[in-house]
Amino acid sequence: MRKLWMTFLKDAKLSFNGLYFYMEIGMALIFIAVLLFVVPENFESSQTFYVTTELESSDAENVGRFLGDSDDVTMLSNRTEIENAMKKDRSSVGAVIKKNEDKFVYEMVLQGYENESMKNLIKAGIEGEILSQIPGFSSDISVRPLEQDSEKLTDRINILPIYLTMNVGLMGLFIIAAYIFLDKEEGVIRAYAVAPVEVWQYLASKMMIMLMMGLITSFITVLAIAGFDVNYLYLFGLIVAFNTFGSALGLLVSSFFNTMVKAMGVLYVFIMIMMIPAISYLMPSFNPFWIKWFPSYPMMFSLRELLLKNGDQSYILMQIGIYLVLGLILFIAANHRFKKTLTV
Amino acid sequence: MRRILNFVIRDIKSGTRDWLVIYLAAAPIMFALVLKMLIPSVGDSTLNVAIYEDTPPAIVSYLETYAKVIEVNDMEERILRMDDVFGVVVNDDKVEIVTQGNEMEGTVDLLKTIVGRYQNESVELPIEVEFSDIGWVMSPMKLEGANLLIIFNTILGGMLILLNLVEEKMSNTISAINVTPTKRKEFIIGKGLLGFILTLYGGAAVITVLGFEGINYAMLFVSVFAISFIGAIIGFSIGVVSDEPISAIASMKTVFIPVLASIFGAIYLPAKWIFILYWSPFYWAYDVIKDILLVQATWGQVFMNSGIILIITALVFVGLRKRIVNGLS
Amino acid sequence: MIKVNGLYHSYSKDENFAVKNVNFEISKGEVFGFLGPSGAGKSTTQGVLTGLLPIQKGEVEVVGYDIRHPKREMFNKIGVSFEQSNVYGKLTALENLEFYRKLFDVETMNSMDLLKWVGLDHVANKKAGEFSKGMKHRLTFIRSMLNNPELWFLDEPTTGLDPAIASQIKDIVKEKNKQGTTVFLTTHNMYVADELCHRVAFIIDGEIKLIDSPRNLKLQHGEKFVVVEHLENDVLKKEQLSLIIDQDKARLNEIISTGKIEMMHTKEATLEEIFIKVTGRGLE
Repeated sequence: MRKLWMTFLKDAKLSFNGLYFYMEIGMALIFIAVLLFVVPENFESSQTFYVTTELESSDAENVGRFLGDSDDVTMLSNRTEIENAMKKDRSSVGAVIKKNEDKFVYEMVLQGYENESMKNLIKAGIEGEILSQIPGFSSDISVRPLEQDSEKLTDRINILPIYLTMNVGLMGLFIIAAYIFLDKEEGVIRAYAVAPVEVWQYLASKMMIMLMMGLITSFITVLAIAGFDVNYLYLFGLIVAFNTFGSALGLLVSSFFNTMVKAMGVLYVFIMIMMIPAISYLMPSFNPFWIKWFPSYPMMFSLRELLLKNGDQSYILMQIGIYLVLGLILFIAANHRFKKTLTV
Repeated sequence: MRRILNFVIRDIKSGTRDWLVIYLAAAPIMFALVLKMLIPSVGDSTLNVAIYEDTPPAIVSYLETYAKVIEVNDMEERILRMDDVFGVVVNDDKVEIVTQGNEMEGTVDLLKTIVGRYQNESVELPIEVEFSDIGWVMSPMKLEGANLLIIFNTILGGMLILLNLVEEKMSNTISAINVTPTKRKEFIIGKGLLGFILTLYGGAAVITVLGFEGINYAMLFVSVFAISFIGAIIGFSIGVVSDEPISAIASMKTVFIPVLASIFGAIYLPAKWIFILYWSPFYWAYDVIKDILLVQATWGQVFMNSGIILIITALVFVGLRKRIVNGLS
Repeated sequence: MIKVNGLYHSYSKDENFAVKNVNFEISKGEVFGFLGPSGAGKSTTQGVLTGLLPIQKGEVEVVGYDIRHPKREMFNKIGVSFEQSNVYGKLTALENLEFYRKLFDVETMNSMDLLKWVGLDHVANKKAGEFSKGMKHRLTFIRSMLNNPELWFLDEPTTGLDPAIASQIKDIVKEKNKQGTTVFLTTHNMYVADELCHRVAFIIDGEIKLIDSPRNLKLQHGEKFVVVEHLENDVLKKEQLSLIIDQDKARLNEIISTGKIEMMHTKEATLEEIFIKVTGRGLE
C-alpha cells in the first residue's frame, strides 16, 4: 500500500508539472462558462405551426378563435407563404383549413419525412382536440402519476450527465492509454520492471491520477452548474465507480496494442459508440432494447437521478456497485495482460 | 511540389503503419453508417405504451396505429424505468393513464386525446383531416447529423496534422529538415495537405453514405475547404508546441467544446440569440453547409460564409503565428 | 568555406551571451575541430552556422552564402549530423534515407551504399524505431552525407558509440575529407579531435581561447616529461620529471647516475592536458 501511495504521489507530481492537468481544469471552466453564459436555462425548441384558411370570413374567425393565440401558431395568408416558411424551418408543420360542403377540412401540410405513425398521431391529436370541443363530449380518462412530486431538470442542468459521463467515464480511456504508451516509449516501464513494485501498483497509480482529475473536474462543474443542492457523497461514489470502470477499460484495451495511435483509434470508435445513448437520454421515447446494454446508458441516467431532488437512490447505489465490480474485473484482466506484455 | 509530395507520401506511409490514416479515413464512413442506421429508429419512436395482457384487443390494435405497445406484468416497475413509457389500464369504460411524472411535456396530453378519440369513435366529427407534403423527405436528424459529421471531420483533419507534427517533434526530425533546401512554406503545405485531403474526402463520404441528392459539390468543396483551415490552424498551433501527445490530445479535446456549442447553439437557440455564435467559424460553416444540404445555398452565401470563416481563421493565425513559427524552428 | 567575424549570440536576447566575439575561418578541405566542455557554446555556434539559430550580431559566411540572408539552396552543399539521433521511428532505415534524399535538389548518394558503408544494410528494411542507440546514430550520420556535402557539420560524431563503430566513423570522415569535403567537427573528445583535425579551436564560456593545429599546440604548450620508475633503498619509486625545468633535469641526471632504473619513458602532453592548462577547466 505504501508503495502504491508513493507511486501515486510521484505520478501526481508529474501531472502537476505537465500541461494536461491544467488543460482539463481549464476545459471544465470553459464548459461552465459556456453553460452559464451561452446556454439558456431552458431551450425554446417547440414546433412551429403555420396555418392559413381558405374560408369565408365568419368561419375564418371561428377557426382563429379555436386555434387561440398560442405562440407556436403563426397565421399566414396563403399556401405559398406556408410552403416558404416551412422550407426555412424543416421541423415545422403547416395546415390549410378549408371547407368541403359542411365539413371543415384540415389539410395538414407536412415536410415529407414524417412517417405513418407520426401522421396518425397528428390526426388523432387534431380530432381529439375538436372532439373535446363538441358539447356532450365525455371521456373517462384519468391520469395517475406514480411520482407525485416528480420534477424535471432544467435544460441546462440536464446536459450535465452527458458531460460527466463523457468526461469522467469515457475520456479517461484515452488519457490513461496515452500515459501508458508514453511511459512505454520513454522506457519508464522497464525501470518499473526491475524495481520491487508490482504491475498492479503501477496501473492502479495511473488510475488514481485519472480519478483525481475526474473528481476535481466533476465537482467544480456540478458545484458551478447545480449548486449545493446535490448529494455530493453519491456524486463521489458515482464518479469513483464510473472512472474506475473507464480507466480499467482503457487499460485493458490498450494492452492489446503496441502503439498509442493504434489503440487510440479503437478507443475513439468506442467512445463515439458510447455516445449513442445520449440520444435516448435527450429523447426518452427512443428506447430500443439494445441501447440499455451500453455502459454509458445507466451512467447518464444515474447521474440524472443524482441531480433530481428526489432521485432514485437505490438505482444510484446499485449502479455504483455494478460499476465498481465491473471496474475491478476489468482491472484484474488488464493487470493479467499487462504482466505479460508491459515490458515487451 | 516534389518536396511537398514527398512529405505527404511520408505521412501516409508513417500513418498507415500505425493505422492512423486508415482510422481517420474509415471514421467518417463509419459514423455516417451509424447515423444512417439510427435515423429510422429515432424517427419511429414517438410514443411508448405499456398494457396488461388482458387489455381488450380492440383498444390494443387501435393504440398500435399510434404507438409502440408492449405487454407487461408489472406495470409500475416498467414505467418507473429510465425511459418514457406510459401505462394504459382499461377497466370497463374507464381508462387510466399511468405516468411516472417526468415525461416530456405534451406527450401525456397527446395520449389522452388519442384514447379520448377511441372512446368516442362513434361521434361524427365536423372535420376531416387530410395530408399533403412539400416533398421534403430528409429528416432533420439526417440533416443536422450530416452537418455535424462534416464539421467534426475537419477536426479529424486537424488531428492528423497534429499527430504528424507531434511525431516530428518527438523524434526531433524538424531540425534535420531545417538543414535541407526545404522551404518553410513547402514544409507547412506538405504537412497540412493530408489534413485537407482527409477533410474533403470525409465530407464527400458523409454525403455519399447518407445519400443526399442534388448537392452542389463545388459549393460543398469550397465551404469544407474554408473550414479545413480552422482544423489545420488548430492542428499546427497545438502540434508545434506539444512534445508529447497527451497535452496535444487534451487540447484537441478542448476544441470539441466550441464545435459542439456552435452547432447545438445554432440548432436550439432562438433566432434572436443566434448572434452570440457569430464569433465561431463553426457556426458559419454549419450555416452554409446546412443550406448546401438543403439544396438552397447560393454562391453569394457560400462565398460570404467562407470569407467570414477565412477572416476569423486569419485573425487566429495572426494571433498564433509567432507560436507556430517558433515551434517549427 | 566558413568565415565568422565578431559573432555574438544570446538566447535571452540581452547581454547574457552564450557566444561572444567568435572569429575564425575555415578553408576548403580542412577538418576543423571545435572543442570545449558541455555548455561552452559549441552547439550555439554550430546552430548559427547551420541556420537553425537566427544570427543576431556579427558576420557569418558559409559555403559562399551570407547567413544574414540565408538561401534554402545553400543546404544542398551542407550536411549536418546531429548529436542526438533524430530519425523517423515508424519508417525503415531505407525509407528514412529515401525520404530525406528527395528533399535535395542535387545529385545524392545511393542509400543502400551508405547503409552498407556503416554496416546497416542487413537491417535496411527494419523500422528505425526498433534500432539500438548506436544504429540510430549511424543512420543519422549517413543521412547527413546523402547530398555529398561540400561542408559537413558533425556534432559529437563518436560520443556514446562503442570503439569499433567509432573507429569506423572516423575512417569515413577521413575518407570523405580525402575526397575534398570540409568538416566542421564539434566535440568534447580530445582524442577524436587530435586524430581527425587539421586545426582545433578551444572554446569555453562562449569565447574562443585559441586556434591552432594539434601538433603546434603540443609543441607550444605541451611540456616534455619523463616518467622514471626506480629502486631507492629497495623501495620502488615513480617520478614524473620535466625536461625543461632545470631542477627536474638535475634530478633526472641524479637518478640515471646513482639509482637502479626499472623503467623509463617520455610522455607528451595530451590535447586534454593542454586544454586544461590553457583554459583552467576540464572537458567534462
